Amino acid sequence: MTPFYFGSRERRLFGVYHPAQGGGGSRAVVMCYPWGYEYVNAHRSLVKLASLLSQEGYHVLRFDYFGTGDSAGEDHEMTLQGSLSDISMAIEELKDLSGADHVSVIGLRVGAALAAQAARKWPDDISSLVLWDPILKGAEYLQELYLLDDSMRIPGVGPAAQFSPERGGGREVMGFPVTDALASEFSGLDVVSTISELKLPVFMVAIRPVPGQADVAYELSSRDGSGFELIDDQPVWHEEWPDNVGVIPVTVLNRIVSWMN
Amino acid sequence: MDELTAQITERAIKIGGGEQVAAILARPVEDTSLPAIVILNTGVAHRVGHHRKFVTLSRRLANNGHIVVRFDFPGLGDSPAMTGEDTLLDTNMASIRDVLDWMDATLGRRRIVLLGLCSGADQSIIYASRDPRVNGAILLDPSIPRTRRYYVNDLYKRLMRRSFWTNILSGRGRVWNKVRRVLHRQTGPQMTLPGQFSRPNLEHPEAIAFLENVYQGAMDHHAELLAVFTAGPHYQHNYRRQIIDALPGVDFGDRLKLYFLKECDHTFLREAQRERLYTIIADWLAQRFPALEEVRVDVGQTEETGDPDMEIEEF
Repeated sequence: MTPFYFGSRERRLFGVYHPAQGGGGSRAVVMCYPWGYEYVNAHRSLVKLASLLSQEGYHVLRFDYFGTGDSAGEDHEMTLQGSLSDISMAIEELKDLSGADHVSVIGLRVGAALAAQAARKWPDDISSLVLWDPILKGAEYLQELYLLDDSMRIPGVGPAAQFSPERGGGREVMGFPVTDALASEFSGLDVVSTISELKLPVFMVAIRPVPGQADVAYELSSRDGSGFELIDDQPVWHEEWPDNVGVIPVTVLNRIVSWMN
Repeated sequence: MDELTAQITERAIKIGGGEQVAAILARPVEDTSLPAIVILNTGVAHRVGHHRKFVTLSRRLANNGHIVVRFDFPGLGDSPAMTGEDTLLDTNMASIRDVLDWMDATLGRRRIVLLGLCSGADQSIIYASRDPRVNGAILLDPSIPRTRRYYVNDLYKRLMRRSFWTNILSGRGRVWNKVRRVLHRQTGPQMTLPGQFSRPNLEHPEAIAFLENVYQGAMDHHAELLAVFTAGPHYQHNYRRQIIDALPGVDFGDRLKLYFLKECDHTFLREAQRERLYTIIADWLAQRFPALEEVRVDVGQTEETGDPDMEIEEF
């Protein structure tokens, strides 16, 4: 794998390219990370998924959105709209690297919601979609985040900070700022309706039932080449220390790879 | 380009004979003689760190004139796993050496400060004892044995809690759980004990001798140490000078600076706590590692001079 920076001078993004092993062909996959503390926890599993896909002959690019990970930008500068444009840059970068005309996109949690939006926005570039435990309703996700942070009982952790308007407003959630703008964007996420507008093959995999999932499952099961599966595995984006630290959700990863194939 | 990176550059690099170590090099646009900083992984988290704190810290320190490398051990983050017979510790020690060799050969840097949290702190001090190029180590919640004073503090704190007495009266909690286990009358699921993550093995004479050996080894190389303890691992440490009491065989001299942040958790989850940490680190670096052309300031017996607001209550 090759770590590198790409993008524009104003928006430098960190990415890791996994070339297709065995020469490869023109099959290419862009991976979309989750947000915030979920990104930190899930990173290890997404590296593993990229490695598996590379071994299967896919060119893979995983990358950090602006304001996240090793990419430029500060935490409070991360927005979903900006991340969506980052996905577009990543797709173009991977097409250049691999020679592919179009790519598949795999997203986890918020990354899945963004992937669905990207597929709607750039249908000519994206040929298939894998949504791994997507955030289906952003407003509910936001409330879950606030509740999770507010209910933490960890020694030394005080109440979440509220940020000034100059910093974008909003509050801290699990170590990251949810600015007013980001909170508004989260609230507006509605993957259920986005999926209904997509024409490409979509595979949704989830490790637990959530509201709205049944509707999507029904929608996908009625389409050729699409599907939904509920698989018993670990929530890698949520660390339950020390029980699932470092655990790789092998069943989910293998199922994603087999669906891609 | 955003304000934070206006004065620095960042580059993705691969280090080692097999280019097995993935790293990010952050460096100031204008070179300085300040020591370079090398940041290690925390547990299995990749080099970005919890709450992205090692990215922010790298950029702040680079803005202050330090070259900073944050990297992933083999098998973590973007570094592929190594195959072979070496232990995990040996593999990681070799990786740190690869990074330092690269900085020496490529950047001409021979003054290095290692920085790590938790397992990263432990590996920092172990490596510091082996390589005289390590001029300093920033240890965030390193593993240290509990001491007699730790147990007294712990008991006192528990006795002062209302929940302790309500549990005693209602037949719940840690004490009753222990009694039930002793009497083999435990039924139902095991109760989670607050101290279940403690590491009593660190109190074995062999472990203490090992730790004394590595800390003394670092001191023998004239390394400066900054140790920051948080309230997170309260089951393992609970006062500022515990490391000195726990490792009596180490002559720290005036080269150990200690902080105990009682309003802070293990991963520095709140931004305010991270800002405080960044300030502590920047101030310590400025005090202990002035640019080579500057006159060194005598900072005296700094282990006795912490910010009193950062102390746990003394008994």
